[in-house]
Amino acid sequence: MDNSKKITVGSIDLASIRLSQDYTADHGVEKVLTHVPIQKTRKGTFFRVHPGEEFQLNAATIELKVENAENYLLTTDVLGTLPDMERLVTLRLAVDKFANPFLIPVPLPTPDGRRNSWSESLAQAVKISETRWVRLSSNMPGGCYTLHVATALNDEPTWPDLGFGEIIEIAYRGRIISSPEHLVIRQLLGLA
Amino acid sequence: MMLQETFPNGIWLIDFEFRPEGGVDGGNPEVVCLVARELFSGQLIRCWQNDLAQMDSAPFPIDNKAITVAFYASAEMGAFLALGWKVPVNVLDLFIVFRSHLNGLNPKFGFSLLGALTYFEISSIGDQVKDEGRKLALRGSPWTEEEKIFLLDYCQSDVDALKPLFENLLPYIDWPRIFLHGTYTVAAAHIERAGIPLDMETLKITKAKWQDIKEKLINEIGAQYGVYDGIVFKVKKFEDYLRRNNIPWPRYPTGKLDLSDETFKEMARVYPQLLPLRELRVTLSQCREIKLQVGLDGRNRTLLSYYQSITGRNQPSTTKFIFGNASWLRGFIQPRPGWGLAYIDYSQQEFGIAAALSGDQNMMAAYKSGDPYLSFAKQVGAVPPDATKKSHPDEREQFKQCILATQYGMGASALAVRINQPEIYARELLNYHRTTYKDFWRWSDRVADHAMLTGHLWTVFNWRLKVGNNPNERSLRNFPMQANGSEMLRLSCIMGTQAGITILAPVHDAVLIEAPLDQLEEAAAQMQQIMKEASAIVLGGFELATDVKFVRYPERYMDPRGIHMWNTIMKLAGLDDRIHTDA
Repeated sequence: MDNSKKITVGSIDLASIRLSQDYTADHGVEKVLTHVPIQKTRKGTFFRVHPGEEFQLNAATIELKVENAENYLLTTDVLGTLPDMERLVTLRLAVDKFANPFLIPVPLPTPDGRRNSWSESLAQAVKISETRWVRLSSNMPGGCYTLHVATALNDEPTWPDLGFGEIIEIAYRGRIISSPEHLVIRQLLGLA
Repeated sequence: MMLQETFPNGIWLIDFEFRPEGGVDGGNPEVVCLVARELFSGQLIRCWQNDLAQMDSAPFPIDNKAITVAFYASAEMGAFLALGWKVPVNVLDLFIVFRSHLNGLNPKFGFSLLGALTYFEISSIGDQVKDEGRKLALRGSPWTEEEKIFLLDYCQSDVDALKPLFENLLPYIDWPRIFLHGTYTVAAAHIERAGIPLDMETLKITKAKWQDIKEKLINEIGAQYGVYDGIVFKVKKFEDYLRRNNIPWPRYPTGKLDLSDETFKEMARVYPQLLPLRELRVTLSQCREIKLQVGLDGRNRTLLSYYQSITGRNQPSTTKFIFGNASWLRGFIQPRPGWGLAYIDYSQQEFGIAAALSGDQNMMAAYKSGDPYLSFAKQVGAVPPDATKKSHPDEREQFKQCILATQYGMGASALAVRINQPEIYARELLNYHRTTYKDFWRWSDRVADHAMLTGHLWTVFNWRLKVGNNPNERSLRNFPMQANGSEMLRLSCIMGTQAGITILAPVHDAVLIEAPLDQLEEAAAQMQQIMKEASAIVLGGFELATDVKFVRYPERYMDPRGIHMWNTIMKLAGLDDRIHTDA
């Protein structure tokens, strides 16, 4: 439109009576992240992993596979209480194409430096996903994950506006074990 | 605002009584009497029709230093036009003020004058007296002297009620925007006065044979589906038809088929073979009789019923107004010899409004490309940059349905039905919309937050929405697109009528205009320019494009969705020469 042209209806200058449709007034509304799943892969979903060291945490976890898999995070106070069930992992922050965050637990090598082929392929995929959009599928005969890299996707991921500590707290809310008296430990030791 | 200082020539509360020409609904108004009273001085004017006929202008000031106040003012403006008077500069319609004040809240007694008076606890004449007065006016002349006094008193009672109503509504009047809305009442009066030309001969024959045609229609179209038993639609037979044809049909939680017209419409998009059945159902439900309101001059006229929907759009009668009826009836629209019609509609109006108001650059670029659907597919990399409508019709259709789905607030399951694809695919499409048009979604979130937290939204010219007790978030998010679209079309109608273009009807996001054949293209081009300017005003400089379709005598207007039904009906009416040959 030629902005120099003043359009009137009767004596009303239309531009001068136009109300804004920005709705920019700050009503103090923000989206709150309340759920962060912990999963190795999300079937069929392309994801990126945050490359920053501040978004990595080596941790001990327990995965209970009763009905739905439940992940628990162990603090150093209880480390070694259940040696056969504890899994040492690096927790990595990932997001899918639609900015939904999740944590990928990447198993750490055993003290002798070995990792099974599933874990090894997962670790490789995570490394590549620091710079490329990838998705994983299970290769049962091969005993590993097959990596799919999206060669045409160049857009950058949208990361949550939270520190890694806060994200971990959300992901493991109510599932952080810091005492041998925790019900999960007592149950697994046959004490409850 | 100091009203008396700003409008020293007075605030005139007015009401006309009139009857349709020849006493036939659909005729232009024949004015019976006028009562006007000045708000502050109390000066009263009462005029009978013979006095009015002698006047070449209103008997009260109508310049920019006066206000003319009425309730549902297009009727009063129609009387001005019937009398050949110049219309007032400042029109204030208390119906619009009242409707906007409570829009979204559904007041108990409705939005009529009586409803407004009851809402503010203003005493008024009862329904019975009103009915008596209306009937007496409609009866027509000759009136006895007592009847004339009764009618003038009756007219005055409405005018007297306007004073307390004005005073109650005064805090809610948004100056000077209310005068823009008032100007639309003048445009509406022009449009209602013009009417839509119909092929009366074909209409008369069809109406005369209608009962017979309906039965034959069921045999003709219903038989193709085997779902009718006599004239009764049998759900069981329809279920069998769906099973035979492998069509999955939406059901209610109870398991019963959802047979609403909205669902039929949706399903007919996916399964076009259902289109004639849907049209038959609409025809049988809406057209037990053909009730189009037609004046003695063969033109379809009804109240536009402006501002009757929450979004401020017109909501004319679905039986009396030809564009409110089943789409095949539009085939009766035919210009007079030597004349033509142009149907001009905004291209992807809602998408364009959403793009401009949210300031989403990707969305604006998609709109400006001329084909937002294909552009959207290109933006997400679903088709190559050089793809065209011809080279990728299926992809374009799916991205089109995705855009439409987001406009309707449709979820993945409904979109999946519409595009006949698995739900996961539909979800992916909807996610593409969210990631490609991030700024739009951020703005849309702000709109929803604002509505929920403050309880109201507004358009660029302050048509307001109040959030009631049971808000629908999808409707709130959609309000700026729909309601500003409504502003845009109103503004187009105002500017078009002021430019001397004969607008016959606003239809959602389009207008139908009329002109002599040798001026038709020029008038259409002028109207297109006006609609472009109107869009730029509403959207802060962003222009929307329009498409135009011409109908030149002896052609008739034809809605593609109604062609099959039109042709079937013409055949059944023995009017084979009127069958639409491009079908």
